[in-house]
Amino acid sequence: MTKLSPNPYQSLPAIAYWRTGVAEPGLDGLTGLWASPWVLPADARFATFGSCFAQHISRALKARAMGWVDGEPAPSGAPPKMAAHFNYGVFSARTANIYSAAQFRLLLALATGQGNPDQPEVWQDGSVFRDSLRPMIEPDGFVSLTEALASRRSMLRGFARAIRAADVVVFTLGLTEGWEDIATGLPFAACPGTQGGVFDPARHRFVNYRAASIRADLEASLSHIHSLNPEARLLLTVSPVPLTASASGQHVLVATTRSKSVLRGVAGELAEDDARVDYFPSYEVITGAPTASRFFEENLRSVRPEGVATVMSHFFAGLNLTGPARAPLTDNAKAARVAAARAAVADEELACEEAMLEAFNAA
Amino acid sequence: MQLEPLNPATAAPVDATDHPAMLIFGDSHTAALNLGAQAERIETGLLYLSGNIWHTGLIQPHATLGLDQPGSRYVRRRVTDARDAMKGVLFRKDEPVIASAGYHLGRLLPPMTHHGHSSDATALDRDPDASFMSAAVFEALITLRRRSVWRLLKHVGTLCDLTVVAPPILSDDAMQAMAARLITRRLRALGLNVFDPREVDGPLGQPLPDAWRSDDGVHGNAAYGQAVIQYLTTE
Repeated sequence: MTKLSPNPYQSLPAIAYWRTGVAEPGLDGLTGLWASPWVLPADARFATFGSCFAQHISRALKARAMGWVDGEPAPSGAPPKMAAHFNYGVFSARTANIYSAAQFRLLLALATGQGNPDQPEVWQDGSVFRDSLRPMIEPDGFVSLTEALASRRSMLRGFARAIRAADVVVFTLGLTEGWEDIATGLPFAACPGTQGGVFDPARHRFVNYRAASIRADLEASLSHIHSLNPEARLLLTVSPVPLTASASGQHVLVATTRSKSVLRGVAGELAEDDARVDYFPSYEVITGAPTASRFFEENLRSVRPEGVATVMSHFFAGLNLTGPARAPLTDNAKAARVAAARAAVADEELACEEAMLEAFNAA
Repeated sequence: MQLEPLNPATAAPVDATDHPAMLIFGDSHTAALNLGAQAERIETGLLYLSGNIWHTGLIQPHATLGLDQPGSRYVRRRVTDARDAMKGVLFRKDEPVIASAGYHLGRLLPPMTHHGHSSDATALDRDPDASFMSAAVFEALITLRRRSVWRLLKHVGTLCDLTVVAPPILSDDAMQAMAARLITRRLRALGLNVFDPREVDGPLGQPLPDAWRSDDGVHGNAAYGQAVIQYLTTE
């Protein structure tokens, strides 16, 4: 055998090799998938936004009595079930799902006072009004245009409050496909006509965001975040949930791979380039080869509770909360962290508006 | 603590021939209505329970007493006293009863605003920390807190000629007005007869002038009560 010269691979850890990092440990033995580069205070505060998978992070943080920021809490006295019905406490403000980086950028711009918050469309369906930025946020719609716009402004305030209060802003990227206003270029949360409004091909167009524009949107988002909170960090994740439907013309499986690959690539590169940004591999945990798709439900789309629990176990294992706390942790908080989030995240329903697209499947 | 139910056989005897013409029951706004009725020479029986008690939603119908709160000796005593004043029966078929109940805005609204919430969109312009809650959220919260009293009133409405009187207009606060109108609408949806001063053209439909305010400033006085009773008896 030829004697090899010393090379960098000889000193790599076991997790750098597929056999020892993945194949031999198997799914339950995976370790070291993620280690946060940031030393956060023991009582670090997280604001969570993004696609429906981001809700799991919200819930897990709450379940552990960790510092989950609620910038737009429900009115005092609202029982949890009522609050959830009206989409309070799902994300750190009543943004509803933010599926695209363009939408994240728009909401942040409006929250920082850039742009007219009344400009994005409000859709009137009969006697009810829906905010095109979050069509399903009010289950039965708003009763007036005034109410819809007031609620939007209130959400933007809460969004800004959440960013200001957070040490880490967690944003889960969901889709590259979206719809925008041809005249203004403003993105919609959903295709007009699917959750409200009327689709008009003269005014609304499909867009499949490319890597460069997603990166630009995320960089602009980061800039907005830092204008609200210069110390905030941005933790990106990519939702492992496949597209419900693709308007790209491609097979939905191909379109999903395109979408997730672009998002994963942009998120990773941004994290590599900016120390204030990191990437957490929830996508890999759910979709990687070790799982053999076992973390998906029978529809091969929804993520099983045990998958969520596995993701969150890697999340909490990788956090570095060794910085000094702002205030001593309460006994309740300590107990809740010990109890962990496993049970709490097990059987809750998610609010995934994108899944409503399945209703348009004629097959 | 659960009190023993009254035995109808041993309950106070009924003397239906000499009872007051009207029962007034409810929260602290009953005082003005009662004084107003007396000023109109209407003999009344009064059942006053504080807004805090109504706010709990624990007052229930009772087969013999008319009303009760399980476990509360205080409520039972007040109800019994009122029943005695009404000569044995609180609610008589087709006889007039006025209720100042189902609203209790002083207890209802402050907790909702604890996080800066308002159902008034203009609050966002006045207060940079204000949050807006939609009409649907507002109604859900009010319904949650008042549903049991509304059900009670609906039941009472089957026993007598009931008129629910909404509280007086104490300020130009938009949220108070929204809450009052919402509750009035919901009570009417239950088939109840409701007098809401907010719907009246004229002084009753305006924030209470000093001449109609009690010393504490947050209730009507006898003159206000008399104006309401006059309105009810003439309109």
